[in-house]
Amino acid sequence: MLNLKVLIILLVSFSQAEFFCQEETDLSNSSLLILRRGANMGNKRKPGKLITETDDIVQFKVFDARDTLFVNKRYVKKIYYSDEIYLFERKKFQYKNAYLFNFSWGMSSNHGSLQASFTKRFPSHLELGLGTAFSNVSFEIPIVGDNPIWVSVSSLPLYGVVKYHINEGKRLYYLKGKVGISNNLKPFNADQISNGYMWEAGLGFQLGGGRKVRHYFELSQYSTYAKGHLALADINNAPADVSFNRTFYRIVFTYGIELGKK
Amino acid sequence: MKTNFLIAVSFLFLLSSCVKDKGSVTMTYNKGTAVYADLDAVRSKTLIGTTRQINDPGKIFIDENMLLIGEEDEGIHVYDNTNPASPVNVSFIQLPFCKEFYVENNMIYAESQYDFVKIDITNLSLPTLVNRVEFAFGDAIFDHNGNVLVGFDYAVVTESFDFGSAEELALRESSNLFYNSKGNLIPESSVPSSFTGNSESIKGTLNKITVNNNYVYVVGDSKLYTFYDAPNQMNLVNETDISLGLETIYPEGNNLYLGTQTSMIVVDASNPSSPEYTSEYEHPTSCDPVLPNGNVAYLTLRTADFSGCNGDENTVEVLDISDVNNPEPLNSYTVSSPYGMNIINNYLFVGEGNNGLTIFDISNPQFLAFQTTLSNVTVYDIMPHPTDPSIILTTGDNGLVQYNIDYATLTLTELSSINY
Repeated sequence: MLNLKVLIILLVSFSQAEFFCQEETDLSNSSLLILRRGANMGNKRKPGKLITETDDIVQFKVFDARDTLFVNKRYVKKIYYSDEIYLFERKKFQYKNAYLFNFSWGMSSNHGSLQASFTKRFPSHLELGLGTAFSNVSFEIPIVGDNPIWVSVSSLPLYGVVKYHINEGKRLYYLKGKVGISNNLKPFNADQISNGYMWEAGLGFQLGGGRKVRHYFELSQYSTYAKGHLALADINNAPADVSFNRTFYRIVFTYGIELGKK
Repeated sequence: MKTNFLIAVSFLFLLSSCVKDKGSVTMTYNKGTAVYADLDAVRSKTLIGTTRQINDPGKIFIDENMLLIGEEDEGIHVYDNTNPASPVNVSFIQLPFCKEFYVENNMIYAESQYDFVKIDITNLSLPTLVNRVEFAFGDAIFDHNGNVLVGFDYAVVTESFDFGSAEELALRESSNLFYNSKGNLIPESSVPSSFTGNSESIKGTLNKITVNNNYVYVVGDSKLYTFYDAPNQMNLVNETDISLGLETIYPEGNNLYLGTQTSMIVVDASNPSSPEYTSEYEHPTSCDPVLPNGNVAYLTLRTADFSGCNGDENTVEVLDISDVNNPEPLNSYTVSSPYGMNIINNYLFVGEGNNGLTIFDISNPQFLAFQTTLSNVTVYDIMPHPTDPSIILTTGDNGLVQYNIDYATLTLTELSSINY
């Protein structure tokens, strides 16, 4: 438990260093124009204000430039519109309103998971979506007279995700929750396993990025349930019959990446 | 913003107390209950006891006129085998907690829980304890009354507990006690009963004890124990860490061949008091003895028959050991469930438990020529009679059987059996 609290303190200290010191230029309602190779207009990534956009031409006022650009659309790779992103200095941004893919790896004591989710982020700071994972949690049943019985429950959970973003900063802080079914897979030494619920709730922060990939870190409380039956033969060739039901609680550290619009 | 963040952090601190799993287990299994005894009383038990029925046989030794059959945890049955067609139970040597013994030059070398003992059986009617090396294999575990843990009684029980409860903690402590005690003992063999050897120096392949050049070697779970063996004394002179999962030992020349669950290990005993690891041939996890034969060694890998062996191979491997520093695989032969083996009359006999007895011609030692599998017998181990080459002995589920063997047809005719 002490280690867990130390981990939380370190995570919070690390994340707060920039949180309370961020100096952000007012870039609200700004867009980011990404040009193709061959555009011959200097830097390919231009923050600024979108003035007009037609089928052929984009009129764009670049920050720190005197003139307005008129760019033929064939040189425009993509535009991150002001209603899609929060733009920050050094052309970094966070999505404000977008469809997003998330891939992450979580770990804790006798538990690990690989997760994937698809979400929609709304300007209201809310993000909703669906996800799945390959998750494993294990535990030991002590017995006297043979090796302890290890039970390793893998699952392919299906869940809904909800995130609430606390701020609109370049480092984005959020609360996150998941609820779903565990969809347990039968352990190799079990002949029965039931399905159960799973939930996870926690806190995380996401680093801003200038490209479509963002990195995030989370600390969360995870819980899942499994009920099963094992029929084993121990070293003395006597049958062992084991029934268990277990609600697992784990504090999970997660690293993930978020993929936005192409 | 700062307030929101601090609320969120506080929320996480609250959650961090929820890490204990909840739920329960109900299980039925063969539970061991610790048994404690007065070790002095155990050690002072007289050697000669009355004859009794064989219940749980272990190691077996055959002399020209005598059979010794180990009774697990109790001692050794003595049979007069002057007439192989009708062996007679004549006495019992009491050796509490003995599972492994070895016989050479009228001496029994046996482990007895924490101790290693040497017994002179020159006069079988009056065996005498020559030496006892106390706590040779580790320290004893005592209970609150000063008694020593001497084993576990097993009984099938059904018990339930909640995760994190006092019952689970108590069970975990007992489980730890079980493992701590096993760490100080010679592990139990995965083969129900097997031969130590015969009086003509043909050794069994499933031994954990052997004698070579006035030194006695014993394999523990991970250590090789070396005892100096003088006529009237025996001393522990070395403990060598080798590898986890040691199972069997077989001496050949100045080398000791150790079978482990994951490899064959060659140990150089040219300095007999200080054996040294020489080389290793790794194989998939399984139970296995080793039988060197000149420039080759036969290695059986067994996983079948639910005998506590992991893996998925059941083979006889032929290894080139002409360079003991670099054993190389030559050939591999699939069998059903190999246990002990022996070379008799230019044939390799492989006991296959409930799957019978498989015989290979080894005229060319590198290539095993399959002859037959006698599937109507249960055989864990094989040993030739010391003086009559037409008799072989086998151990099986139902007892020790003596057969006449016809080498021309490779058929067996039962002479007698000692059922257990």
